[in-house]
Amino acid sequence: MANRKLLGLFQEPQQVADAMNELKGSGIPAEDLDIYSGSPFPEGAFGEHEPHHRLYMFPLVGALIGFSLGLLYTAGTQIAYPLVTGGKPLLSIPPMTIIMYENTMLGAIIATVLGVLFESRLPKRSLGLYDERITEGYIGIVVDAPEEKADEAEKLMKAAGAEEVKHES
Amino acid sequence: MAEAAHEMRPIPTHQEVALDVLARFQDLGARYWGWVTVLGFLFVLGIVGFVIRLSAGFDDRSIWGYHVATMSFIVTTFLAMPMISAGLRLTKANWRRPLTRVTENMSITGLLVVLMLLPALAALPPLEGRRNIWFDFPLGAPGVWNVLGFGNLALMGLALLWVLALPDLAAARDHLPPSARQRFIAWASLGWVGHLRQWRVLYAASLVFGGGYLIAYPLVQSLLFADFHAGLMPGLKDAIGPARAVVHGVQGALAMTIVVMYVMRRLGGYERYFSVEQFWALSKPLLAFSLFWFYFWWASFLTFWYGRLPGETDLIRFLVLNSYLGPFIVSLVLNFIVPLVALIWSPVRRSAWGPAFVSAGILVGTFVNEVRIYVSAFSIEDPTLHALDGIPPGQWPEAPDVLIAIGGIAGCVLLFMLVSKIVPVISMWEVGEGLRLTKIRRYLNRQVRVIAKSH
Repeated sequence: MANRKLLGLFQEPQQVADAMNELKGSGIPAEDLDIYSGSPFPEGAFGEHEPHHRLYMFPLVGALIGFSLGLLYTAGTQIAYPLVTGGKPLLSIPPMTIIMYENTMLGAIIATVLGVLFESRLPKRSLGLYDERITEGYIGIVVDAPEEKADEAEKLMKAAGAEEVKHES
Repeated sequence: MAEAAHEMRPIPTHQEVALDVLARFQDLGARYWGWVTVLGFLFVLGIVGFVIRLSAGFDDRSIWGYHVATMSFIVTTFLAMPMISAGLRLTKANWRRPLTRVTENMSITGLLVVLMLLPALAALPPLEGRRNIWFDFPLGAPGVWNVLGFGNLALMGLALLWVLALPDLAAARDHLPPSARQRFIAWASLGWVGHLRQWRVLYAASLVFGGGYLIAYPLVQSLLFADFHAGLMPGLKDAIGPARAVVHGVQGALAMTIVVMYVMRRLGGYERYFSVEQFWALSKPLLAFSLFWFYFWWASFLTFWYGRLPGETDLIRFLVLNSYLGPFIVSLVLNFIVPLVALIWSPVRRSAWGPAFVSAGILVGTFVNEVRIYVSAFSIEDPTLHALDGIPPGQWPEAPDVLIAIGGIAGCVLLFMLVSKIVPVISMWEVGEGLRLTKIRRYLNRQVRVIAKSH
């Protein structure tokens, strides 16, 4: 059975919390409910499913790659072309530290930007089921419900105070 | 009567804020273009000054001193501003919300700094024979690694700005009338809709980029100090120089933030967003960092004062007591004495004009101090000596130097004004989030504001 997407638009956060309770009570899993808003709400404010992301892994991996490349470049080149100057150690640690630090940072920046894009599922060509009032302060509940539950979900959202319920065309 | 005095203005809604900010954002009136034209003209004058210097080449290093001082001033003020946003976000200061975007938008000045860095590097003498932090490391030092260090900071700032601006770019996409500007903004918003996952990722990214900026900035100040000052100054042994430069950066960032807020409040009609609360709150760390300013200078000065080696006394005479006495006194007064004397008074701190007046002085003092540090270093003829050979005279600016300084600063303001018509200068989503966490409640005989913790 195909799913149908609905977007309920609310003006008050309390209405959203009430609607979320009703929708979950009707048997729609929390994973099939999403909230669209123009600013973030404290986690769990609507009893919503908490999405997990792995953004923190991206800078970590990027930093490790950058650090490794920096180490490889600085230590590798000095070992490959050993020029001992004045009896000093072959590896010049202080400048190596700066270069490795910079490479670590560059790796972390690039990886985090990629991570933001990947984890936020951006860029999106089409906004899909969306309403411009959301960036004005309205709050949207997106329901991805089986066909037989979609009408009930629409009724529940309207009963909770939705100003409008939009359907995916 | 007493009760009326404690009545509070009702808290606006997210919608009211969004519509107000977007209306100002949309406006590209004659006044805006007038300012852009004036700043553009000044920036062009700066380019003229730069071309004059460029035509003389890099053989005479001393003519590039003011260019480097201007670049360092930008790093110490404009480019330090995103640290305010990052720091206040990490400490979850609720009053930050209206001012963070102003500081983040300034990260665009990183592009100008990277451009200014290239001729500054070309003016540096070879590393051989002089003290430097590169220890004869042959591969690209100092040029490549300076560009990478400064570039990282610029990149980090732009990433912080872009990520935190995504929701407001989406708001602008949704509400601006169709135009080339709206299409560009829509492209830059990448299809942001503000679902749960996007908000969680944005929050995490703000911590990563904010924290990253805070650790990238000291490296840039260290490179500046080491390669453009200490490495050119025979006999200078100043271990806390880079740390002092970072302290100057935080002070400069606070001062520039306050001045920009004051100008926007007076000329841009942003009183509603930049209230006394923001000035009051920023004036406290400003006072603290003004005290640090003196403490760090004093700690550095003591080493030379008690060392008393001939090279050290010459350095003190050169940088503090003789050649650059004037700039030092101006800086001491404006960066330490005036802030101390003015900001210890609560009524001064608790106003918009007080912190703004002190901050304007700090910015002047900071520029003069950068001149003292970098123009002096670039005026040394032979940086390979172990100690100063006599005490060189102070170097006054020539016409191209003045043009470069004016053009550099005007260029930063111009970039800020241009980017502020792509990214709204008030973070609507952050202000909106704060409004929802704030309630006015009655407490005994008065009203109080109750602010919830969001995380």
